[in-house]
Amino acid sequence: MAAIETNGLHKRYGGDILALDGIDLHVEEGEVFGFLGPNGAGKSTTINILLDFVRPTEGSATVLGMDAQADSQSIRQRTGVLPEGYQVYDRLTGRQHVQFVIDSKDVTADPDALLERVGIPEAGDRTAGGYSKGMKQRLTLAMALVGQPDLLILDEPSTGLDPAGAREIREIVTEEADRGATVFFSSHILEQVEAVCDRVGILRAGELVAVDSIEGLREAAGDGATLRVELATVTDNAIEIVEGVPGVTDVTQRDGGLTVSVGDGSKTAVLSALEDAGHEVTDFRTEETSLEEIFMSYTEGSR
Amino acid sequence: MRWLQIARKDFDDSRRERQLYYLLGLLGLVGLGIGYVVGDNSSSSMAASEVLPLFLLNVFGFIAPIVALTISQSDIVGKRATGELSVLLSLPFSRHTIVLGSFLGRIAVLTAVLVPAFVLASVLSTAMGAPLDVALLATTFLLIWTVGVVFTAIALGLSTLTRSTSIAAGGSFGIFLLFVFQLWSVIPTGIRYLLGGLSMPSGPKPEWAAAFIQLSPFTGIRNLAHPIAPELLRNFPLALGSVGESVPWYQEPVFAGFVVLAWIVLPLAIGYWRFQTTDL
Repeated sequence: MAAIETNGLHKRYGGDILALDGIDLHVEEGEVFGFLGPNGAGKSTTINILLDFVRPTEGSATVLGMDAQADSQSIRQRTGVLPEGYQVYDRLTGRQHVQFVIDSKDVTADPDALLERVGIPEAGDRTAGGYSKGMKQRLTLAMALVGQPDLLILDEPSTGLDPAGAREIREIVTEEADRGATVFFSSHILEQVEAVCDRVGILRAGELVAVDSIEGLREAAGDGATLRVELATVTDNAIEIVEGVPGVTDVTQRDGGLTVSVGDGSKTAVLSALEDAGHEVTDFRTEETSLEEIFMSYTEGSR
Repeated sequence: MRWLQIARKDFDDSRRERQLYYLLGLLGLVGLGIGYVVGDNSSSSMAASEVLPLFLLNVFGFIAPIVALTISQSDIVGKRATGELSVLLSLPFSRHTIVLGSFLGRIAVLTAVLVPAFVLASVLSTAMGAPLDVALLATTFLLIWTVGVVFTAIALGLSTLTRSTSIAAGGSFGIFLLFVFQLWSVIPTGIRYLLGGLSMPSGPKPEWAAAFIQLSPFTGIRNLAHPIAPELLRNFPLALGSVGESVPWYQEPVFAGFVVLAWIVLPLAIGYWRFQTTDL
């Protein structure tokens, strides 16, 4: 069953601002799904429709098999949410924050254990007004984890966290997924979702431009990997030889060496072909297409 | 019982923001002032048990709507502006739970600041020798409380209806002008002026104009409670017109009961209807 399913989701604000232009999203139960896109691409609008904060102009959405509008309350009973830009209550302690969520969901849970789990055991008795940005974000995560929800919706969970904090969030996401929960989380930084996501969806200007696994994205991004070969002397013959190797898509000469775009499995073939032809390879290295480049190619490029 | 959780949170918010304490202090002082004045004159000609209730009725008849408008107009629209509403609605609360819970929470705040003021006034005046009519005092409190509840409903309805904090604030000032400043009573005259081709209306007031004036919240409450405490309500502040020997249909307590109920239910219903169809 799909944990999240949207069909032709359109959202127009005030008649002329098109925030979403036909989003068809399918997130499987138990999947960790990264929802990516630059700021303003429509990530929050999509999440807001899933939570019924915002009504779609066209199209429909189901969450955990229930209609996002008609059954919103039942959906939220089984969903843990980390809202974007959450403001904590300055005069409430961390424990009171978590307890409020426990009460609202009518579940039994230990607030202190949850605070411990997100790495702020000291926050239980302190009022949230004095928290650092990172502590606030961790508290919000603790609130989202209350009651072992079937679905976690995390809107930019790494905001305000240092790299160590971001890593801890990823660990918690992995733990939750191992428990069987579906995790849907948005980010504008691809690296944050890379390590944990089964699949990612990339949103650009209200359109879903790609949905795939990270590897799939890498492949789809074309070039695959780039091989950099340093030669004692570069000759036209060397270029011809490399071009003749199966799988090579592009060869350019630069600074006494060659930059070769190759598909999978043919990198060593390029090196042996050169050496067999008597060219002296002084150095080589492979450069994988960086995730950032893939992301950019989707969100800014002409695709 | 989720609305109870919202109501409790709404009340606690008021406490945490110190708003409750400021109002307690302010209204407590007013109560003490009234108690002192009544007690101080207890040996003079004013020594009757209805002096204290009348005093409280007149002063708090004015203060209660202002307090209700002030504490309620920003309630929901303010939570919307700060994003708190998104937090509450990401939990399993429905939008009607939010409206109902907030309404009850605001009534709790209102009650919590009115009761001590009444108690202080009664205790001080009695200690200074003034007579005390508990039943009449309780009736007075109930009247003032009802005024407060009606204005809480109106202000909260407004707060639920709009997405702009300034519209909510401006609108509640409009409500103040309309009912406390009694612009309401001018509306029929204005309509007759327009209908009469921009000339001042003359002749006796038509029945519809008289009935319209009796639809204001204060007047409705007065007409509703008149049979219970006629001597107290003869001078009910801010109520328009007076209740004579034989009451016309629009001053009948049953009709007035519907008027008062409408002033509570309609603003909340209209606000909620708008709230549940709009984006946060």
